[in-house]
Amino acid sequence: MTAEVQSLLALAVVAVAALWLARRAFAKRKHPGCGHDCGCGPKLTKH
Amino acid sequence: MQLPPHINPPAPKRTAASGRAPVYALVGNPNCGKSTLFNALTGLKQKVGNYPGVTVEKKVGTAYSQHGQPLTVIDLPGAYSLAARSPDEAVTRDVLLGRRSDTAQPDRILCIVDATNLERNLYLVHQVLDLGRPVIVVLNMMDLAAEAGMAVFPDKLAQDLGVPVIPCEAVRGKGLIELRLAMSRPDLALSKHAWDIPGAIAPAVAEIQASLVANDAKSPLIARAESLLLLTDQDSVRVAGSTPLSPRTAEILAGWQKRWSAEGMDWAGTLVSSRYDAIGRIAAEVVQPGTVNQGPSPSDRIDAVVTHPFWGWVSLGAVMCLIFVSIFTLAEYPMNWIDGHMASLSDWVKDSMAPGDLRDLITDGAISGVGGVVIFLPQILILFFFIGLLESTGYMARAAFIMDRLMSRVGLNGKSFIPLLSSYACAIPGIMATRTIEDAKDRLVTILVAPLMSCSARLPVYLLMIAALVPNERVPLATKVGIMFLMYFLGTFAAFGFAWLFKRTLLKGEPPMMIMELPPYRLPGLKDVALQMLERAWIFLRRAGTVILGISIVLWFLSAYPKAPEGATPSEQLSGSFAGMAGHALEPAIKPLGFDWQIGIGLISSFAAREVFVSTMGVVFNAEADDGDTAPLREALLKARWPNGRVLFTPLACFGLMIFYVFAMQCVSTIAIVKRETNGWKWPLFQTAYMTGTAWVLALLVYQVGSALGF
Amino acid sequence: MSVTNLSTLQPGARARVKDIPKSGTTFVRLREMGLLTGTVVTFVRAAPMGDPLEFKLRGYLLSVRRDEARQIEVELLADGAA
Repeated sequence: MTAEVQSLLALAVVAVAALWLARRAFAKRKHPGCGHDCGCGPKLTKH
Repeated sequence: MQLPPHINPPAPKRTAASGRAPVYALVGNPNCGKSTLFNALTGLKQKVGNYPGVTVEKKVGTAYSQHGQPLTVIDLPGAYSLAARSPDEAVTRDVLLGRRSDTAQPDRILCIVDATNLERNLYLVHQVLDLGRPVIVVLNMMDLAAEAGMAVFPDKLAQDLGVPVIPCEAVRGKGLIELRLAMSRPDLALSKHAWDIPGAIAPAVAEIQASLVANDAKSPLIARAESLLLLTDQDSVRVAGSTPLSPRTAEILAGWQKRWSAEGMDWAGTLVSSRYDAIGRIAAEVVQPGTVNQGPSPSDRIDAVVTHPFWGWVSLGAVMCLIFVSIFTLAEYPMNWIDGHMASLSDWVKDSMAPGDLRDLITDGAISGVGGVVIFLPQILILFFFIGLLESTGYMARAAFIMDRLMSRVGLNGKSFIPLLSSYACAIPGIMATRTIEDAKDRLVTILVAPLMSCSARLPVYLLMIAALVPNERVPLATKVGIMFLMYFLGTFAAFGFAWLFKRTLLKGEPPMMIMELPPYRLPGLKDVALQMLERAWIFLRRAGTVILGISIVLWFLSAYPKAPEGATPSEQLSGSFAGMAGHALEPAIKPLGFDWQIGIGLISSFAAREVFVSTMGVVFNAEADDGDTAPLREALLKARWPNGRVLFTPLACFGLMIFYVFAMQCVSTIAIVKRETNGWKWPLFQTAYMTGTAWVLALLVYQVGSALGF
Repeated sequence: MSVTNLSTLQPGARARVKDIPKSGTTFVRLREMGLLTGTVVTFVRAAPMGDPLEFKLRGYLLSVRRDEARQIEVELLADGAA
């Protein structure tokens, strides 16, 4: 893998992580107090 | 395979419509063996989560009937009464009354009762029988009752209450088969137990019940239970997720209360008394008190020592020492192991990939970020092991009993002691342990001050700063230990000081009550303790694998971009990155404290986890500290200079930095936990502001006053 | 039989509750824990710093702060110190 390809992939991963964190923060507001991290099953959070 | 109908009985009518197995709720007083029974029934088939909006653990498990039919069991928090006094009890009440939108009302109720303490345990059962759901009573601790010389007659209790009563020894798994058989019965009769509502109160119950049916859309049976509850305790704790009363019902309730107050009638007391009258009649028939049981029990003998005016302190001190020595010594081996494996994983990636951004992201971002947090797993496991042990043996209540007087000086009660103690290891389990504090304001104050207790993530920062502060190898160890002790003392002192302040200003309230049961000592249920520990570990690991991974990746990006020109040193790269820019932007704010932009980068990176400061300093000053040896980094720090050539890490700056770390709120995970516990951003933001503000002011004082004095 | 309040008992003394304050969630909870008019209570000990107090009632141990205990009127039972 060349350095350019690696950079592109790395930026893509960063973008995915940032989007996921942002989405998660947004979803949390809709269901206060219950994020995935606290052990809520998928049944409890509506996505 | 389809079993013939007589072996696989059809589900009860109510549940048949939705096509699911009956849902059981497991309720009981604290300390009656509820979680042991839950674990025995469901084994590892448990799902642990939270009730939305409150930090009360929601445990749901799958048990199997004697016919192999799956049964859902919800383990509700322990409660003495449905007139709730804590968030935990409020959840139990709301689930049982069908008030929560997130949890369907259970079809059937398993009520676990401590046979050695029948009267008080039956109070909750008595309330539960009013709910109009089929109830199975589990008479636990039959062996202990027999040991105490008591004769308990389950058949008599079954006859009096009109529900199945299963004698049981949950610890040994005795009685489980009978319980499973009862649970798989397709039909369970409703209790026919009748008790007389006192004449003066009966019309009020009827009127409120009618209004609940008409205005609050309650079913008649639930409405009766609810109206009795409203009359027992109008100030019952409300938690998120429960539905408020309709105005009409509230009006009727207030009307009756006003009338009774004028007449000087004690309606709540009358209701409680009449329940206890009914219970007393039952207990007299069911239990024959022991005759052989004279003289102190083993529990009494232990208590004589651990609550003794002198030996009580000695034993409390010994227990605390044991916990801390374990956390800091035992945990070292698995921590080194994790550290070593993270490092070799990182090396392996470096060997097998060509240099580039993706490789850096994996090693410097993902692996070191997640590794830096996972490394605390052993400490958290050990801490939860001891908390579980203290709880299941009954010592926890004694620690609160001994500490109550001291804690009351700052307006808290003894139950805040263990959460604060736990926070020395990590504020997260400490804050999670505040759940047992009934009073909402006390709980909030405890949460607000808990992160001031110096957690173990601050330790590496203290160690590095002490190394830089007293670089001379000949300085006696006692000096270094003394400085370390001072930091811990400062944090502890501040925690109590702020608790005192908050209780007097922001969160003024009644002096908290200290009504607490001191349960008899029991051998720890090691299986239950281990299970709880594993649950915590799993929650923690999942967090590290998701949120912290995401944050680490983003932080890596902030320090790797924009790219420095070809051939730049890592330090030049960092200084030109987004993180470096933030450090530069922060410099005017921290310059009066004697910190430059490079330290600023460290302060910012500490938000991921405080100990990240150490590795950030390594990058900033081009010193790779390996294997926890701070010597090369220390040398590099001592060579650091301001642009005008002044020494950067003067003793005063080092000391100020340590003070800053004692007070500042720099941990994203803690902020997230506080947000979850307090249901919003208000308190975590307040906490971050007051802690970091104090840190700034004190570090400023240290630097400015120290400089003026010529240090 | 002498009338006093719960906070003045000697260790080992037994007493019968005569009166508990009507208002206040604390006292409602104490009733729910089985501390009612007529209940027999044994004072076990005070905590090392003198507060809270530990009582035995209905076969279990309960800790109550001195401030609350003071408001509970009791009559001392003769066989107390036994």
